[in-house]
Amino acid sequence: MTKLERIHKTKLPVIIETDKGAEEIVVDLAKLSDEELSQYIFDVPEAVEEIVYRELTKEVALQAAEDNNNS
Amino acid sequence: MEAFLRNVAEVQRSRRNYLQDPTDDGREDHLQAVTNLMSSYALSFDRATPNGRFKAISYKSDGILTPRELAQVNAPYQAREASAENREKPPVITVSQKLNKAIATYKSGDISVPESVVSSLQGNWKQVSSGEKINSLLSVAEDSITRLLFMNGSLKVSDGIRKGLANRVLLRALDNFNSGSSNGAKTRYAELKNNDTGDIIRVYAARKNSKNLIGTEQDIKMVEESISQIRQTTTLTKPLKLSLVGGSTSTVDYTGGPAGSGTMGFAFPGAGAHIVVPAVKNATDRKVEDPNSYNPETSFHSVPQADYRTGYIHTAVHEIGHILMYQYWGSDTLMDDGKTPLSSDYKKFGVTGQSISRYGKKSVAEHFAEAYARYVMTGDATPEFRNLLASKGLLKSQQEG
Repeated sequence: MTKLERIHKTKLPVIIETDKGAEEIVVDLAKLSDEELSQYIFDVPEAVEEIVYRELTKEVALQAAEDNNNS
Repeated sequence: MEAFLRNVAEVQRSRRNYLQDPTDDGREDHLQAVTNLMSSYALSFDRATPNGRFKAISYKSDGILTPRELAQVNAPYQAREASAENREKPPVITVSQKLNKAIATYKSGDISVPESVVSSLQGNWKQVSSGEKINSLLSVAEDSITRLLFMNGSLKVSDGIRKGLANRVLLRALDNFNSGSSNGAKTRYAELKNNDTGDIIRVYAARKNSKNLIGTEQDIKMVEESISQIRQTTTLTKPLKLSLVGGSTSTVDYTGGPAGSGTMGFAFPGAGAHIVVPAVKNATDRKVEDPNSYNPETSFHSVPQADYRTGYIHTAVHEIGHILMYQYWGSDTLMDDGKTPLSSDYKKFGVTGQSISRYGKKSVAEHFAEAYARYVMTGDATPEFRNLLASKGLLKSQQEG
């Protein structure tokens, strides 16, 4: 069973405007904890994709472990 | 179960053998068979009822084993049944059950825009129900699973696992909302959708666990007006999303001067544009600018802030400008090196070096958003900037042949 590859963007630029000027930061979804990532789920499709990626990775690993036990 | 039945047969065989030919070895063999039988019963029980309370069986006198040997065989299992650990185990709660509970909690706390406000908006705007929000998120999760599996060499995963994954993603989102995220302003939201264009307006709660909206009827109408102005001047291929969120500042000055501090708005791909609603909207706080006083070299913003409404709409259109910038020119937009797509096009179309406002001097990205806001709100744009928009099919007038 191969390691899953991400197919979604994880680095999202955010431009923040203040009355003193604009600032751009980059939110790296891959580096967020599961809880931090959950805060973006209703806003950002890539956050959903990242959580799906993490859950599917766990599932694939479980299946691989079961296949090894049964063989 | 099969192992248990085999052991039953073994006990019968060993008993028969001993009764036919009573030897010490035969006795030992029988005792072992009974011990194995009891062990396989316990194993079968645990497999069949993993969370059930253990119920021991007793091997009765069979004319072969002594009372001491019978006690030896039965004792471990009777002790287990009587043990404190063998208390009633809590029922296993499935993901489905947790999800149903989370959905019910979410729905009971959902917030909405008053219907009188929705019906006062221009266009086919409708409230998005909590059920629709949940279905939308589930749909995104399911699509994501399908794409991820397909792009990873068509990995085989059962439908049950796909559904389980999507449910777990939804459960996370709902648990987050129901418990309140750490960023208090961005928790619950009311959502309006224009069924003709797909555009979305979100109005977040005033604070965590509050059912009051951060935006007033006036704010929502100004957002709708902003979207309307954009659609009149720009050809769009994707729906717009604009959110009203709370900010940490108590006063935000929408006029030219850098009075006060704090965020006025922000934009990022996927989530759309956000306007920070000031907690205090006091007319006396504003420095009103003469709309005829605009000077691209000296004015702070590209549209003079004649009143609160102008400032508000300017912020909204400016942020949407950033969203369009990300959509059409990609993420590397703040770099002014002439190599990134936006700065390269700025050079190509001769926009580089043009002034739009003091705020627009900060970067190519800010120049774009400022120039876009001026174009949408006043129709005023240099030929070079128009050509830049036209190159991406954004300029509405080019569609009117």
